[in-house]
Amino acid sequence: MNNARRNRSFLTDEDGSAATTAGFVIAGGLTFILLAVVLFTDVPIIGPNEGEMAPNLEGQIHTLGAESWTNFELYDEVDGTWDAESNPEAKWFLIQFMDTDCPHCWNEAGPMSDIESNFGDRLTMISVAVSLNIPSHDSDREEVVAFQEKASLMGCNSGNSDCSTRSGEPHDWAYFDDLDVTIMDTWGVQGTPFIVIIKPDGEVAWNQGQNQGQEIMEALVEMLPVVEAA
Amino acid sequence: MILSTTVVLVISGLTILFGALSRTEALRPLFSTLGLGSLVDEPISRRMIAGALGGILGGILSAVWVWVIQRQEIIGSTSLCIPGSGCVAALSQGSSNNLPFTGLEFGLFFILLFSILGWIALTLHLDPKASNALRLLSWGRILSGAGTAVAVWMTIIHLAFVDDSPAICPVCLVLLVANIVTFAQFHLLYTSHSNGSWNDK
Repeated sequence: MNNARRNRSFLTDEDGSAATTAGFVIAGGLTFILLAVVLFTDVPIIGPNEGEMAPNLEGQIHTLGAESWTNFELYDEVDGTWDAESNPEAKWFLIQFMDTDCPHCWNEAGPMSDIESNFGDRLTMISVAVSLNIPSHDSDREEVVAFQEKASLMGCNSGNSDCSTRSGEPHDWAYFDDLDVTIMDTWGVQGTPFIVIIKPDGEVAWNQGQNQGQEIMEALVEMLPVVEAA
Repeated sequence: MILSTTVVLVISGLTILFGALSRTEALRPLFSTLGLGSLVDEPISRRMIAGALGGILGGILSAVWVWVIQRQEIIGSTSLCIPGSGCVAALSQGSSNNLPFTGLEFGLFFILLFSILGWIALTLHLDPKASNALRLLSWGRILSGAGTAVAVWMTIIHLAFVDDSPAICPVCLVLLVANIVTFAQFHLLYTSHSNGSWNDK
Protein backbone atom coordinates (compact mmCIF):
# COMPACT_ATOMS: atom_id res chain seq x y z
CA MET A 1 0.00 0.00 0.00
CA ASN A 2 2.76 2.38 1.02
CA ASN A 3 4.83 1.36 -1.99
CA ALA A 4 1.92 2.01 -4.32
CA ARG A 5 1.40 5.46 -2.80
CA ARG A 6 5.11 6.19 -3.08
CA ASN A 7 5.10 5.09 -6.72
CA ARG A 8 2.09 7.25 -7.53
CA SER A 9 3.70 10.16 -5.75
CA PHE A 10 6.93 9.56 -7.67
CA LEU A 11 5.03 9.56 -10.96
CA THR A 12 3.24 12.78 -10.10
CA ASP A 13 6.49 14.43 -9.09
CA GLU A 14 8.14 13.25 -12.26
CA ASP A 15 5.31 14.69 -14.39
CA GLY A 16 5.52 17.91 -12.45
CA SER A 17 9.27 18.09 -12.90
CA ALA A 18 9.07 17.81 -16.71
CA ALA A 19 6.22 20.30 -16.85
CA THR A 20 8.07 22.71 -14.58
CA THR A 21 11.29 22.44 -16.57
CA ALA A 22 9.39 22.95 -19.83
CA GLY A 23 7.56 25.87 -18.23
CA PHE A 24 10.82 27.57 -17.24
CA VAL A 25 12.29 27.04 -20.72
CA ILE A 26 9.22 28.40 -22.50
CA ALA A 27 8.74 31.30 -20.06
CA GLY A 28 12.40 32.25 -20.44
CA GLY A 29 12.21 32.08 -24.23
CA LEU A 30 8.95 34.01 -24.32
CA THR A 31 10.32 36.73 -22.03
CA PHE A 32 13.38 37.07 -24.22
CA ILE A 33 11.27 37.28 -27.40
CA LEU A 34 8.86 39.86 -26.00
CA LEU A 35 11.64 42.01 -24.57
CA ALA A 36 13.62 41.83 -27.81
CA VAL A 37 10.63 42.82 -29.94
CA VAL A 38 9.60 45.67 -27.64
CA LEU A 39 13.17 47.01 -27.31
CA PHE A 40 14.19 46.69 -30.94
CA THR A 41 11.04 47.95 -32.64
CA ASP A 42 11.21 51.58 -31.80
CA VAL A 43 7.56 52.56 -31.72
CA PRO A 44 7.21 56.17 -30.55
CA ILE A 45 4.64 57.36 -28.05
CA ILE A 46 1.44 58.01 -29.94
CA GLY A 47 -0.62 60.99 -28.86
CA PRO A 48 -1.73 64.49 -29.78
CA ASN A 49 0.86 66.31 -27.66
CA GLU A 50 3.92 68.02 -29.09
CA GLY A 51 6.78 65.62 -29.64
CA GLU A 52 4.52 62.60 -29.85
CA MET A 53 3.59 60.66 -32.98
CA ALA A 54 0.19 61.87 -34.14
CA PRO A 55 -2.55 59.24 -33.87
CA ASN A 56 -3.72 57.87 -37.19
CA LEU A 57 -6.67 59.21 -39.14
CA GLU A 58 -8.25 56.22 -40.83
CA GLY A 59 -11.58 56.65 -42.53
CA GLN A 60 -13.19 58.49 -45.43
CA ILE A 61 -12.58 61.94 -46.82
CA HIS A 62 -14.37 64.25 -49.19
CA THR A 63 -12.43 66.54 -51.48
CA LEU A 64 -13.77 69.70 -53.10
CA GLY A 65 -16.06 68.86 -56.03
CA ALA A 66 -15.87 65.10 -55.54
CA GLU A 67 -19.09 63.11 -55.88
CA SER A 68 -18.20 60.48 -53.30
CA TRP A 69 -16.15 59.93 -50.15
CA THR A 70 -12.92 57.98 -50.50
CA ASN A 71 -10.75 55.99 -48.11
CA PHE A 72 -7.93 57.82 -46.40
CA GLU A 73 -5.22 56.99 -43.91
CA LEU A 74 -2.95 59.67 -42.48
CA TYR A 75 -0.12 57.22 -41.94
CA ASP A 76 -0.07 56.46 -45.68
CA GLU A 77 0.88 60.11 -46.22
CA VAL A 78 3.52 60.28 -43.51
CA ASP A 79 7.19 59.93 -44.44
CA GLY A 80 8.92 58.33 -41.48
CA THR A 81 12.36 59.06 -42.93
CA TRP A 82 11.75 62.79 -43.42
CA ASP A 83 14.62 65.12 -42.57
CA ALA A 84 14.11 68.91 -42.46
CA GLU A 85 17.59 69.72 -43.76
CA SER A 86 17.55 67.51 -46.81
CA ASN A 87 13.89 67.95 -47.61
CA PRO A 88 12.68 71.32 -46.28
CA GLU A 89 9.98 71.65 -48.92
CA ALA A 90 8.08 68.51 -47.79
CA LYS A 91 4.48 69.28 -46.90
CA TRP A 92 3.48 69.52 -43.24
CA PHE A 93 0.00 68.61 -42.06
CA LEU A 94 -2.56 70.93 -40.52
CA ILE A 95 -5.38 69.01 -38.86
CA GLN A 96 -8.42 71.00 -37.83
CA PHE A 97 -11.16 69.42 -35.71
CA MET A 98 -14.42 71.21 -36.47
CA ASP A 99 -18.19 70.88 -36.28
CA THR A 100 -20.39 72.51 -38.91
CA ASP A 101 -22.83 73.44 -36.13
CA CYS A 102 -20.22 75.05 -33.89
CA PRO A 103 -20.37 78.89 -34.04
CA HIS A 104 -16.60 79.24 -33.49
CA CYS A 105 -15.94 76.83 -36.37
CA TRP A 106 -18.39 78.84 -38.47
CA ASN A 107 -16.30 81.94 -37.77
CA GLU A 108 -13.02 80.12 -38.38
CA ALA A 109 -13.99 79.12 -41.94
CA GLY A 110 -12.65 82.42 -43.30
CA PRO A 111 -9.30 82.33 -41.45
CA MET A 112 -8.87 78.73 -42.64
CA SER A 113 -9.22 79.96 -46.21
CA ASP A 114 -6.53 82.56 -45.43
CA ILE A 115 -4.20 79.85 -44.14
CA GLU A 116 -4.81 77.84 -47.29
CA SER A 117 -4.09 80.79 -49.57
CA ASN A 118 -0.88 81.68 -47.68
CA PHE A 119 0.49 78.23 -46.90
CA GLY A 120 -1.40 75.89 -49.24
CA ASP A 121 1.76 74.89 -51.08
CA ARG A 122 3.51 73.99 -47.80
CA LEU A 123 0.65 72.25 -46.02
CA THR A 124 -1.66 69.29 -46.43
CA MET A 125 -4.77 70.55 -44.70
CA ILE A 126 -7.41 68.20 -43.33
CA SER A 127 -10.60 69.23 -41.54
CA VAL A 128 -11.89 66.49 -39.28
CA ALA A 129 -15.65 67.00 -39.24
CA VAL A 130 -17.24 65.86 -35.99
CA SER A 131 -20.78 66.10 -34.66
CA LEU A 132 -20.56 67.05 -30.99
CA ASN A 133 -23.04 65.36 -28.74
CA ILE A 134 -24.73 68.56 -27.57
CA PRO A 135 -28.15 70.06 -28.35
CA SER A 136 -28.64 71.55 -31.84
CA HIS A 137 -25.49 69.80 -33.15
CA ASP A 138 -26.62 67.23 -35.68
CA SER A 139 -24.24 67.31 -38.64
CA ASP A 140 -24.36 64.78 -41.40
CA ARG A 141 -22.26 64.22 -44.51
CA GLU A 142 -24.54 66.38 -46.66
CA GLU A 143 -24.05 69.31 -44.29
CA VAL A 144 -20.29 68.74 -44.11
CA VAL A 145 -20.03 68.81 -47.92
CA ALA A 146 -22.22 71.93 -48.09
CA PHE A 147 -19.99 73.63 -45.49
CA GLN A 148 -16.83 72.60 -47.36
CA GLU A 149 -18.11 73.65 -50.77
CA LYS A 150 -19.93 76.70 -49.47
CA ALA A 151 -23.09 75.35 -51.06
CA SER A 152 -26.62 76.31 -50.23
CA LEU A 153 -28.06 74.19 -47.42
CA MET A 154 -29.92 75.41 -44.39
CA GLY A 155 -28.54 73.78 -41.25
CA CYS A 156 -25.01 74.99 -40.57
CA ASN A 157 -24.11 77.00 -37.45
CA SER A 158 -26.49 75.14 -35.12
CA GLY A 159 -29.14 75.10 -37.82
CA ASN A 160 -29.32 78.90 -37.93
CA SER A 161 -27.47 79.59 -41.17
CA ASP A 162 -27.30 78.62 -44.79
CA CYS A 163 -23.94 76.93 -45.31
CA SER A 164 -23.28 79.08 -48.39
CA THR A 165 -23.17 82.22 -46.24
CA ARG A 166 -20.11 81.29 -44.21
CA SER A 167 -16.97 83.39 -44.60
CA GLY A 168 -14.05 82.41 -46.79
CA GLU A 169 -13.78 80.50 -50.05
CA PRO A 170 -14.86 76.93 -50.83
CA HIS A 171 -12.33 74.80 -48.95
CA ASP A 172 -10.01 73.09 -51.38
CA TRP A 173 -8.73 70.48 -48.92
CA ALA A 174 -9.98 67.19 -47.55
CA TYR A 175 -12.82 66.92 -45.06
CA PHE A 176 -12.55 63.79 -42.95
CA ASP A 177 -15.70 62.06 -41.69
CA ASP A 178 -15.55 61.69 -37.90
CA LEU A 179 -19.19 62.40 -37.25
CA ASP A 180 -19.26 59.63 -34.65
CA VAL A 181 -16.31 61.38 -32.88
CA THR A 182 -14.24 58.20 -32.51
CA ILE A 183 -11.13 59.84 -33.95
CA MET A 184 -11.71 62.96 -31.83
CA ASP A 185 -11.81 60.77 -28.71
CA THR A 186 -8.62 58.96 -29.78
CA TRP A 187 -6.88 62.30 -30.19
CA GLY A 188 -8.17 63.47 -26.82
CA VAL A 189 -9.64 66.64 -28.31
CA GLN A 190 -12.05 68.31 -25.88
CA GLY A 191 -13.77 70.87 -28.10
CA THR A 192 -13.91 72.53 -31.49
CA PRO A 193 -12.36 74.22 -33.35
CA PHE A 194 -9.00 72.67 -32.50
CA ILE A 195 -5.86 72.65 -34.62
CA VAL A 196 -2.78 70.45 -34.57
CA ILE A 197 0.22 70.96 -36.86
CA ILE A 198 2.18 67.86 -37.76
CA LYS A 199 5.62 67.45 -39.31
CA PRO A 200 5.96 65.40 -42.51
CA ASP A 201 7.26 62.47 -40.43
CA GLY A 202 4.10 62.41 -38.31
CA GLU A 203 5.47 64.09 -35.17
CA VAL A 204 3.14 66.63 -33.58
CA ALA A 205 4.87 70.01 -33.87
CA TRP A 206 2.18 72.30 -32.50
CA ASN A 207 -0.91 71.64 -30.46
CA GLN A 208 -3.36 74.50 -30.01
CA GLY A 209 -4.08 73.43 -26.45
CA GLN A 210 -0.40 73.74 -25.54
CA ASN A 211 -0.02 77.14 -27.20
CA GLN A 212 -2.97 79.14 -25.93
CA GLY A 213 -3.01 82.60 -27.44
CA GLN A 214 -0.56 82.00 -30.26
CA GLU A 215 -1.95 82.63 -33.75
CA ILE A 216 -1.76 79.68 -36.15
CA MET A 217 -0.22 81.76 -38.95
CA GLU A 218 2.45 82.99 -36.54
CA ALA A 219 3.19 79.40 -35.47
CA LEU A 220 3.47 78.28 -39.09
CA VAL A 221 5.89 81.07 -39.94
CA GLU A 222 8.01 80.09 -36.94
CA MET A 223 8.02 76.36 -37.62
CA LEU A 224 8.02 75.73 -41.35
CA PRO A 225 11.56 75.25 -42.66
CA VAL A 226 12.85 78.00 -44.93
CA VAL A 227 12.85 76.90 -48.55
CA GLU A 228 15.49 78.66 -50.63
CA ALA A 229 14.26 79.93 -53.98
CA ALA A 230 15.57 77.95 -56.94
CA MET B 1 12.61 40.78 -50.43
CA ILE B 2 14.40 42.25 -47.44
CA LEU B 3 17.36 39.99 -46.54
CA SER B 4 16.51 39.49 -42.85
CA THR B 5 12.95 38.52 -43.74
CA THR B 6 14.24 36.07 -46.33
CA VAL B 7 16.56 34.51 -43.73
CA VAL B 8 13.67 34.18 -41.28
CA LEU B 9 11.50 32.61 -43.99
CA VAL B 10 14.19 30.06 -44.84
CA ILE B 11 14.93 29.13 -41.21
CA SER B 12 11.28 28.86 -40.19
CA GLY B 13 10.46 27.02 -43.42
CA LEU B 14 13.20 24.46 -42.73
CA THR B 15 12.17 23.88 -39.12
CA ILE B 16 8.53 23.44 -40.16
CA LEU B 17 9.61 21.05 -42.91
CA PHE B 18 11.62 19.13 -40.32
CA GLY B 19 8.49 18.95 -38.18
CA ALA B 20 6.32 17.78 -41.06
CA LEU B 21 8.75 15.06 -42.14
CA SER B 22 9.91 13.96 -38.69
CA ARG B 23 7.85 10.76 -38.84
CA THR B 24 9.43 9.58 -42.08
CA GLU B 25 12.19 6.97 -42.02
CA ALA B 26 14.29 9.06 -44.36
CA LEU B 27 14.70 11.74 -41.72
CA ARG B 28 15.67 9.33 -38.94
CA PRO B 29 19.46 9.82 -39.43
CA LEU B 30 19.04 13.59 -39.29
CA PHE B 31 18.21 13.42 -35.59
CA SER B 32 21.76 12.44 -34.67
CA THR B 33 23.08 15.29 -36.84
CA LEU B 34 20.89 17.67 -34.84
CA GLY B 35 22.28 16.38 -31.54
CA LEU B 36 19.22 14.26 -30.83
CA GLY B 37 21.00 10.94 -31.36
CA SER B 38 19.04 9.33 -28.57
CA LEU B 39 15.91 9.62 -30.70
CA VAL B 40 17.29 7.82 -33.74
CA ASP B 41 16.21 4.43 -32.50
CA GLU B 42 13.14 5.66 -30.65
CA PRO B 43 9.58 4.99 -31.88
CA ILE B 44 8.01 7.26 -34.46
CA SER B 45 5.93 9.03 -31.82
CA ARG B 46 9.01 10.20 -29.90
CA ARG B 47 10.50 11.62 -33.07
CA MET B 48 7.19 13.26 -33.91
CA ILE B 49 7.20 15.08 -30.58
CA ALA B 50 10.63 16.47 -31.42
CA GLY B 51 9.31 17.28 -34.90
CA ALA B 52 6.35 19.10 -33.38
CA LEU B 53 8.82 21.18 -31.37
CA GLY B 54 10.56 22.04 -34.65
CA GLY B 55 7.30 23.11 -36.28
CA ILE B 56 6.42 25.16 -33.20
CA LEU B 57 9.83 26.85 -33.29
CA GLY B 58 9.24 27.78 -36.93
CA GLY B 59 5.80 29.06 -36.01
CA ILE B 60 7.14 31.23 -33.19
CA LEU B 61 9.84 32.63 -35.45
CA SER B 62 7.40 33.63 -38.19
CA ALA B 63 4.90 34.93 -35.58
CA VAL B 64 7.60 37.14 -34.07
CA TRP B 65 8.34 38.54 -37.53
CA VAL B 66 4.67 39.19 -38.22
CA TRP B 67 4.37 40.99 -34.87
CA VAL B 68 7.48 43.10 -35.48
CA ILE B 69 6.12 44.14 -38.89
CA GLN B 70 2.73 44.93 -37.32
CA ARG B 71 4.38 47.06 -34.63
CA GLN B 72 6.45 48.93 -37.19
CA GLU B 73 3.36 49.49 -39.33
CA ILE B 74 1.76 51.36 -36.42
CA ILE B 75 3.71 54.38 -37.64
CA GLY B 76 3.06 53.63 -41.29
CA SER B 77 6.28 52.02 -42.47
CA THR B 78 8.27 48.86 -41.95
CA SER B 79 11.86 48.07 -42.72
CA LEU B 80 11.14 44.35 -43.06
CA CYS B 81 8.99 44.36 -46.21
CA ILE B 82 9.60 45.73 -49.67
CA PRO B 83 7.54 48.93 -50.06
CA GLY B 84 4.38 48.20 -52.02
CA SER B 85 4.72 44.44 -51.56
CA GLY B 86 1.97 42.05 -50.47
CA CYS B 87 3.63 41.90 -47.07
CA VAL B 88 2.95 45.62 -46.56
CA ALA B 89 -0.55 45.45 -48.03
CA ALA B 90 -1.49 42.52 -45.80
CA LEU B 91 -0.09 43.75 -42.49
CA SER B 92 -0.31 47.55 -42.71
CA GLN B 93 -3.97 47.79 -41.75
CA GLY B 94 -3.95 47.41 -38.01
CA SER B 95 -7.72 47.23 -37.78
CA SER B 96 -7.83 44.15 -40.03
CA ASN B 97 -5.01 42.27 -38.37
CA ASN B 98 -6.47 41.85 -34.92
CA LEU B 99 -8.40 39.07 -33.26
CA PRO B 100 -12.09 39.99 -33.13
CA PHE B 101 -13.35 41.29 -29.76
CA THR B 102 -9.91 41.25 -28.10
CA GLY B 103 -7.95 43.56 -30.40
CA LEU B 104 -4.95 41.26 -29.93
CA GLU B 105 -2.58 41.55 -32.88
CA PHE B 106 -2.27 38.34 -34.92
CA GLY B 107 1.51 38.21 -34.42
CA LEU B 108 1.30 38.46 -30.63
CA PHE B 109 -1.58 35.97 -30.52
CA PHE B 110 0.44 33.35 -32.39
CA ILE B 111 3.53 33.94 -30.22
CA LEU B 112 1.46 33.23 -27.11
CA LEU B 113 -0.32 30.27 -28.72
CA PHE B 114 2.89 28.62 -29.93
CA SER B 115 4.44 29.20 -26.50
CA ILE B 116 1.68 27.14 -24.90
CA LEU B 117 1.99 24.48 -27.59
CA GLY B 118 5.76 24.55 -27.10
CA TRP B 119 5.30 23.96 -23.37
CA ILE B 120 3.04 20.96 -24.09
CA ALA B 121 5.44 19.44 -26.64
CA LEU B 122 8.50 20.08 -24.46
CA THR B 123 6.81 18.51 -21.43
CA LEU B 124 6.05 15.39 -23.48
CA HIS B 125 9.56 15.36 -24.94
CA LEU B 126 11.16 15.53 -21.49
CA ASP B 127 8.78 12.99 -19.97
CA PRO B 128 7.08 10.85 -22.60
CA LYS B 129 5.68 8.57 -19.92
CA ALA B 130 3.86 11.34 -18.14
CA SER B 131 0.56 10.12 -16.74
CA ASN B 132 -1.25 13.09 -18.22
CA ALA B 133 0.23 12.68 -21.72
CA LEU B 134 -3.10 12.00 -23.39
CA ARG B 135 -4.67 15.05 -21.77
CA LEU B 136 -1.74 17.20 -22.88
CA LEU B 137 -2.05 15.86 -26.42
CA SER B 138 -5.76 16.57 -26.37
CA TRP B 139 -5.13 20.17 -25.34
CA GLY B 140 -2.39 20.45 -27.95
CA ARG B 141 -4.79 19.25 -30.61
CA ILE B 142 -7.55 21.65 -29.52
CA LEU B 143 -5.26 24.68 -29.27
CA SER B 144 -3.43 24.00 -32.53
CA GLY B 145 -6.81 23.45 -34.21
CA ALA B 146 -7.96 26.83 -32.93
CA GLY B 147 -4.68 28.36 -34.10
CA THR B 148 -5.16 26.86 -37.56
CA ALA B 149 -8.68 28.32 -37.73
CA VAL B 150 -7.35 31.78 -36.81
CA ALA B 151 -4.51 31.45 -39.34
CA VAL B 152 -6.99 30.50 -42.07
CA TRP B 153 -9.14 33.49 -41.10
CA MET B 154 -6.08 35.76 -41.23
CA THR B 155 -5.25 34.45 -44.70
CA ILE B 156 -8.82 35.03 -45.90
CA ILE B 157 -8.63 38.62 -44.60
CA HIS B 158 -5.39 39.18 -46.51
CA LEU B 159 -6.76 37.62 -49.67
CA ALA B 160 -10.17 39.27 -49.67
CA PHE B 161 -10.68 42.11 -47.22
CA VAL B 162 -7.63 44.37 -46.96
CA ASP B 163 -7.09 47.26 -49.35
CA ASP B 164 -5.16 46.11 -52.42
CA SER B 165 -6.37 42.54 -51.84
CA PRO B 166 -5.48 39.86 -52.68
CA ALA B 167 -2.34 40.48 -50.66
CA ILE B 168 0.14 37.61 -50.49
CA CYS B 169 2.27 37.83 -47.35
CA PRO B 170 4.98 35.11 -47.38
CA VAL B 171 5.64 35.23 -43.62
CA CYS B 172 1.92 34.89 -42.94
CA LEU B 173 1.70 31.89 -45.25
CA VAL B 174 4.60 30.24 -43.41
CA LEU B 175 2.71 30.94 -40.19
CA LEU B 176 -0.37 29.24 -41.64
CA VAL B 177 1.68 26.20 -42.67
CA ALA B 178 3.26 26.05 -39.18
CA ASN B 179 -0.21 25.95 -37.65
CA ILE B 180 -1.40 23.21 -40.00
CA VAL B 181 1.72 21.09 -39.44
CA THR B 182 1.50 21.49 -35.67
CA PHE B 183 -2.18 20.57 -35.67
CA ALA B 184 -1.48 17.50 -37.83
CA GLN B 185 1.33 16.43 -35.49
CA PHE B 186 -0.79 16.74 -32.38
CA HIS B 187 -3.70 14.98 -34.07
CA LEU B 188 -1.54 12.04 -35.18
CA LEU B 189 0.15 11.85 -31.79
CA TYR B 190 -3.19 11.89 -30.00
CA THR B 191 -4.54 9.16 -32.28
CA SER B 192 -1.48 6.94 -31.83
CA HIS B 193 -1.52 7.46 -28.06
CA SER B 194 -5.25 7.03 -27.60
CA ASN B 195 -4.79 3.53 -26.17
CA GLY B 196 -2.50 4.94 -23.50
CA SER B 197 0.84 3.93 -25.02
CA TRP B 198 3.11 5.42 -27.65
CA ASN B 199 3.49 3.99 -31.12
CA ASP B 200 6.21 1.38 -30.82
CA LYS B 201 7.22 1.28 -34.45
